[in-house]
Amino acid sequence: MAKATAKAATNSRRRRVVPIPKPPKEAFNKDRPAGALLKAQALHLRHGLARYVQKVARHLHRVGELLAKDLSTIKTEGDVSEYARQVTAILHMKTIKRAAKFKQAAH
Amino acid sequence: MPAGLDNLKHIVVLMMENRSFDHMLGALMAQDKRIDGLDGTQQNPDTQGAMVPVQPLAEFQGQLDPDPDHHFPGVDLQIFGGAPPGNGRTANMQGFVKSYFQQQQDVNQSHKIMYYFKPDKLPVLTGLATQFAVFNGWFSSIPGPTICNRAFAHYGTSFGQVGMNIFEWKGPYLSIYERVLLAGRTAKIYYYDGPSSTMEIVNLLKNQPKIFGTFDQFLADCKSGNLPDYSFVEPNYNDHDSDSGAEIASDQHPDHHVQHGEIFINNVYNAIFNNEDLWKSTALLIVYDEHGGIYDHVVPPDCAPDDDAFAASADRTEAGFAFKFDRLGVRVPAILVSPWVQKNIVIPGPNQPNGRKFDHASIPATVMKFILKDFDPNTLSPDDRKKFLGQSRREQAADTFLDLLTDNMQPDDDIPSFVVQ
Repeated sequence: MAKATAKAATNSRRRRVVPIPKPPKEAFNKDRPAGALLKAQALHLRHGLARYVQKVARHLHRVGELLAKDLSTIKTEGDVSEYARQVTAILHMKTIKRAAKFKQAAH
Repeated sequence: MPAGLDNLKHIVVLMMENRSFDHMLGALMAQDKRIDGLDGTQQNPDTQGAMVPVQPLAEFQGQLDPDPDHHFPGVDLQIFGGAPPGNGRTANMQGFVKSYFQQQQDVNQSHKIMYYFKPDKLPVLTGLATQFAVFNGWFSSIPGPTICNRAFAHYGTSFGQVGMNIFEWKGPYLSIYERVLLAGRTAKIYYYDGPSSTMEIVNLLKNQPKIFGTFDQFLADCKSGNLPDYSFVEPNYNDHDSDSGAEIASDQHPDHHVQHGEIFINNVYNAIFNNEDLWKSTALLIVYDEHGGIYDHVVPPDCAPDDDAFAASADRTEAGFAFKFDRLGVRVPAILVSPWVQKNIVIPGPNQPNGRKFDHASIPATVMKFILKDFDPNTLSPDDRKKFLGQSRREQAADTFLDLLTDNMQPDDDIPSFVVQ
């Protein structure tokens, strides 16, 4: 990670030099009580994570169904194409979104 | 078209945290009367009836603890001095000390909300302000806290939010990043690192990792010349450890150390300057999300209300009245850095001759103008064109700043290089 205290990079193009003080390392305090903004950020992140988990759980449920599929029941090209469509949709998120759009449009 | 605009290939916005214009830049008025800052006569009453003057006693850290209130009701008190809601009350910026007193019931502590920095304490910010373009009239978008104000920078609206609550994106307006992508161009939000993360969780939910990068990547993209058309940079929001040691918060949010924010601003500025092609083709806006409850003397002006659907009820404002987003928030520092900006130009504020008012909705409004400079939306499908051109009322009414780019370039040898001693 680029340090906030890194010195100005040297450069061949000349500029007017303005000295600035070195900030103190003592400013660092991980134990400083978190303010309202950071607490709100944590809340928002957890909300985001919950949304993500819901999305993943839906997919995992679907993955479980597809893994448990008895392949002996696949008899026709139509059966194969339907299974392939569902598996591909899981493996490629964009395909899922597109399929959802088609589904919405169809209704 | 001015050469500066013709050469423009990148807009970069660095949004810092929670400092008012007067607190950071107001003292510049002593050396430049065009700055709408402090002359020492500004004051606020305290709860004992004494008048508290502004004083150049601001410190880098340890002074504004607890964090001054900047939620909607608190800012209403700061702006209107405690006058109850209703017709006929006048904004007077007389409630800052009273507001800060409410947090600890400590009269002496409440006076510190009037403190400001002398220019020599903030050499990077004041150095850039006096070299490039400084705005006398850039206001936070809402008289409220961070999340809703930052939403205006990302969407041109906060979708009715006046606080820090979680909100789900419900449209109809896309973020500026999505609009830029629809035009076949590039855009990124660069957050500092994983432990600091972003304050733009709504977009994170939809577009990770498509439009997100870290500050290390920003530095690498500047160096390699791969900076997107539009970049939004977030500082480090918290103190944390990393593989390379202690990472000190650089957002300047009270009570984070202001000098570390100065160094961060300098790092962004240097990253752009050090790539000569990038320097000649980039406009960098340094701006603060809101005032953080700290004193400013300029009354926030009225503005065009946002979409009717976004009006906030009295329940949501928690201030006893509804809000149509028809008043801007408290003034914040804003500086436009580009070699194509006239040296030491002061953009007048709304109370001055030829005055202009800007707020964070000016950011997506400006980026749209930049993209439309050489993009024909008629090349999009009707559906995408509608999405691309969709702008909130506030964004439609917002002033833009590309006109500040001129035909003339400032020479490198006159431009400041801030070197840590």
